[in-house]
Amino acid sequence: MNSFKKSLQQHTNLQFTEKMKQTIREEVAREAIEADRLLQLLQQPQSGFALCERLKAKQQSAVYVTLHRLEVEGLICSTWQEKEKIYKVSATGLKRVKRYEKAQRKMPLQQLLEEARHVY
Amino acid sequence: MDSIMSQVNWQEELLEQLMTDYGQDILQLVYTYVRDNALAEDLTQEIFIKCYRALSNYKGQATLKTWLWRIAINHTKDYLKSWHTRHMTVTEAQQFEHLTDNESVEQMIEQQESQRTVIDAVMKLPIKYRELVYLHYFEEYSLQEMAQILKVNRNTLKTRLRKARMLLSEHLEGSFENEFI
Repeated sequence: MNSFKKSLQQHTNLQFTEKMKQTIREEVAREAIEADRLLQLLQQPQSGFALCERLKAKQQSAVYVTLHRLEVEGLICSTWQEKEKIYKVSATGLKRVKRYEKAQRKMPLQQLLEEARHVY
Repeated sequence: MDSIMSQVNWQEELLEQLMTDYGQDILQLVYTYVRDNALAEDLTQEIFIKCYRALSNYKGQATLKTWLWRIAINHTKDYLKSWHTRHMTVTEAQQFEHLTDNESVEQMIEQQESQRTVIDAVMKLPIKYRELVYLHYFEEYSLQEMAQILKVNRNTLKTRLRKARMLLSEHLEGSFENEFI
């Protein structure tokens, strides 16, 4: 690191901490779970509007942002039907849904183990 | 085995790597724009989240580092442009000046402290000069690289950098005169 940069760090006391990393990880994980839920619902083809209704989403724009991202990633695909964009999970997306559902089934068992660990 | 699983892991692993390699750099880069610790920390966290979301769009046109720097700079500038900020910056700048005024003059003579004087002077530059000085002298980016990161013509940057140096030396002469009188 060049001396000016080091000096700036000392001067400002700026530190990229483990705590900051953890906050980032948690947010990323939360978004991944949301995406998983959308994928799960999209096994049944439907419009973004219907999806928002179904999720009772308060922030509808966030749903569309996630949909867009999933489409770019190739996890969902879409078609236009009478001026409405209909989304559907793709083959790759479906693999992820299966994995997510498997993880969900495992969850209670994991929790049980976690609790058992605390007891003993 | 499972292609999607490895894809997800790949993105998370890359995020970890980027945070470890560049977390501190990004934090300081953002600070250069906003001059406020807490704000720089918040924006840095947002930048890494944004970067994670955008990883699937990264096509390798620029190096990953350049790409990350561009996300960071754009995100920070967007923040500075927002209504809220335009009404807050004055107080922040004043706060910073207040901070530097409080430093004792004797301490400034030490070598490390003269570096600090330079940093203070840099932080007082208008943003378009400040970012250049930071990228060029602190991060040691070449004009060509800066043109890529900032999406500004190389010759424009060259002129701007010359002006920045001029402003900086004016500032510094002022502060050194005060020191020795």
